[in-house]
Amino acid sequence: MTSAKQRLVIVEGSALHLGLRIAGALAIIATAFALPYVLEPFRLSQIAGACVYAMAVVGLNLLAGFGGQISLGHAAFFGLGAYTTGVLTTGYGVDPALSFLVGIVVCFAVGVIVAFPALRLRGIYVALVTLAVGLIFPTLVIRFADLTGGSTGLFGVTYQPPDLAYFSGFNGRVYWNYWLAVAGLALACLVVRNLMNGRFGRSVIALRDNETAAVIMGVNRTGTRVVVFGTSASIAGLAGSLFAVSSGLLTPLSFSLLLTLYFLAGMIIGGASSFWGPVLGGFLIYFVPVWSAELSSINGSQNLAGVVFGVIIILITFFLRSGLAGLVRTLLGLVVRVEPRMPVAVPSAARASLSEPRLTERHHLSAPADDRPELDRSGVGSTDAARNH
Amino acid sequence: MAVLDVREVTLRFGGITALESLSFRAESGEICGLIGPNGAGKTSLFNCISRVYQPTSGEVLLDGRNLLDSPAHQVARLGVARTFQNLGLFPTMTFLENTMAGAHPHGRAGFLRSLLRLGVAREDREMRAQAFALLERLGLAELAFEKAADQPYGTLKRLELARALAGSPKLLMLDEPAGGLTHGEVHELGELIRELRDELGLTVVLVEHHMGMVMGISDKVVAMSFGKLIAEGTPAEIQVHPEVVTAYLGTPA
Repeated sequence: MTSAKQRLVIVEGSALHLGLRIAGALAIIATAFALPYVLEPFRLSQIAGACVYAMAVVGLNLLAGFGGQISLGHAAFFGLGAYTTGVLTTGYGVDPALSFLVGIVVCFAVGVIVAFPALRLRGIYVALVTLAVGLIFPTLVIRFADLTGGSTGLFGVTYQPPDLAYFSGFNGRVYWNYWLAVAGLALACLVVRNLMNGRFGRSVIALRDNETAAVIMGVNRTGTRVVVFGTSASIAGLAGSLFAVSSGLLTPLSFSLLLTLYFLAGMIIGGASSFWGPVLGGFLIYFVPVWSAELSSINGSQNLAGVVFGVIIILITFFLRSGLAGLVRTLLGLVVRVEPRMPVAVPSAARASLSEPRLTERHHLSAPADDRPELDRSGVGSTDAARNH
Repeated sequence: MAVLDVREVTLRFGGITALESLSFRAESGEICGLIGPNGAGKTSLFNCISRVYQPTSGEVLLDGRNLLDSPAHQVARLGVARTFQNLGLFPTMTFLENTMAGAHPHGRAGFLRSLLRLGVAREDREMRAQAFALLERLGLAELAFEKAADQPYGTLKRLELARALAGSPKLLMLDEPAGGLTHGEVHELGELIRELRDELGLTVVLVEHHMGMVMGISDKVVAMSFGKLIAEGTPAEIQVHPEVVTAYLGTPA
C-alpha cells in the first residue's frame, strides 16, 4: 500500500504531468469511439441522453458553481432551446444545425434579459427571479399551442444523419445522436474551461467571493454577471436542442421545475465549481432514475429515484461538501501530489511590474538591461538560479 | 500637483449626515493619516473615494480628474487601490490567485478573448510571474499556493496589501491595516508602508486607530469628528491640537 509519505510527486507542467493529462484525454476519446461498438443501441442512446443532461449541468455550474448565483430557471432555458429547434425544424423546415445556433442566440439573449433584474438582487431573490422564469415557461408553451403543440406535445423532431458510411447502418441515427451529444458536452466543457482559466475566470470567482472587493479591483460587475448568465443559459439551450433531436417528442411537462432541481442536484452531487464533477453529476441524474426504474420493475415496487437522490444529497451535504469531484481529488491526493510550478521571478520584478502600468512584452527583449528583470519561464528550478543573482 | 484632492464631499443617508462638506488634499508621495473617533466617517470617506458610496455632493479629484465621473470598476484603472477593514480577499483563491486578481485592471482577457483563448495563457503567465514577485517582496512567497481562507489574520492583512499593490496604484488607501496585529507586527507594517511608498512612488491615505503607527509614519494627519474635518497638520501639531484632544477625550466637566 502506498502511504501518504510515499506519494508520487508530479511537478505541474512537467513532462510527466503533461503526459498523464494527454493520456487521460486520449483515454476519454478512445472510450467515446469504443462505446458505439461495445454498447447496444438502446444503451448508447441512454449515454447520449446523459451527455445532454451533463451539458446542462456543466452550464448551470458556470452560473451557480463558479458564479455563485443559483438559478431555478435552467429547465426553462433547456426547454427554450428544445422548442426553438423543435418549432423551427418541424414547423418551418429550418436545418437543425441552424436551429441550434438560433437556440444558442435566443437563450443567450433571454439569459441576459433575466440577468439584469437579477443583478439588482442578491442571494435568495436572484433564485426567485429565475424561479419565475422556470414557472412561466411551461405555461407559455401551453398558451402558444399553435406553435408548440401545447400540452399534447411537439412530435417528429429529428436530425437526419449526414451521408456517411458510419451513420448509414440500421442504428445510424442512434450513432448520430450519440455523437451530437458527445460533441455538445465536449463543447460545453471547453467553453467553461476557457472562460474560467485566466483573468475572466478570476473575476467571476472574485465576484462570488467578495463582490465589493472585486468591483474595487476593477471587475465590471454588470458586464461579467450578464455574460456569465447568458453563456450558462445558451449552454443549457444547446443541450435542450440536442435533447429535442434525440428524443423526438417535446412536452411542456418535460421542462418543469423538477428538471431544474435535477440539474442542481447533479451539480451538487458532482461537485460545484469543479470542471468535470458536473459531468459526473449529469450522468448520475440521468442514470439513477433509469436504474431505479429497472430495479423496481423487477421487484414490482415503486420507482425510488427520488428517495435515492434525497439520500445522496443528504450524505453529500454532511460528508462531502465538494461532491464526487472532491472525493476523487481527496482519494487521488493520497497517492499523487501535484507540485505547483513556482513562477520564475527575480526580486526586482515587483518594482518593474508595478512601475509598468500595462503588461508588455518586455520579456521578449533579447538584451535585458541592468535593472530589467528577464522573466525566464523555461521551467522549474530556475527560480533558485534567479534568486542567486 | 496634488494627487488626491477631496472637495467639499457630503454624504447623507436619509436624515443622517455621514460626511459634511469635507475637504482635504494628499500631496504626491505623501503618507496621509486619517484619524478620528469611531463613527467619525473615515471609512465612509474611503468608500466615497473608492466609489462604493456615491457622495450626495462634492468632488474627488485624482491628478485633477474627478473620480465620481467614472463607474466604480473604472477607479482601479485610474490608479486607486484600497484595502478593507474586514479583508477584501477571495477566500477560495490561493495567495497567488488573490494577487493576480488584484492585477485585474492591467489585463485584457475579457469574455471573448477567454472564450477563444486569444493571448490568455501568455497574459496569465506574466500575471503569475509579477504576482509572485510581489508576494516575494512582501515575504509571502512560501504561501503562494495556499488558500487564503486558512491563514492567520496578520498574514491575510499582508496578502491584502499585495492584492492592492498588484493593481499598480498611484493612490493606496489602507483601512485600519494594523487592526488585529501584534505590537511587533504593527511596527514592521509601518516600516513596510514607508518602504513601499518610496519604492513605488505611492501616495498613501491611511485610516488607523493605532496612534503610534499613524503618528510614526504619516507626513500629514487629518483629524475628523462627526463627519467633519476638525484639524489638519503634521503629526506633532495634531497631537496637541485642542479640538482633536476634545474629540477623543471629551470636554472637561
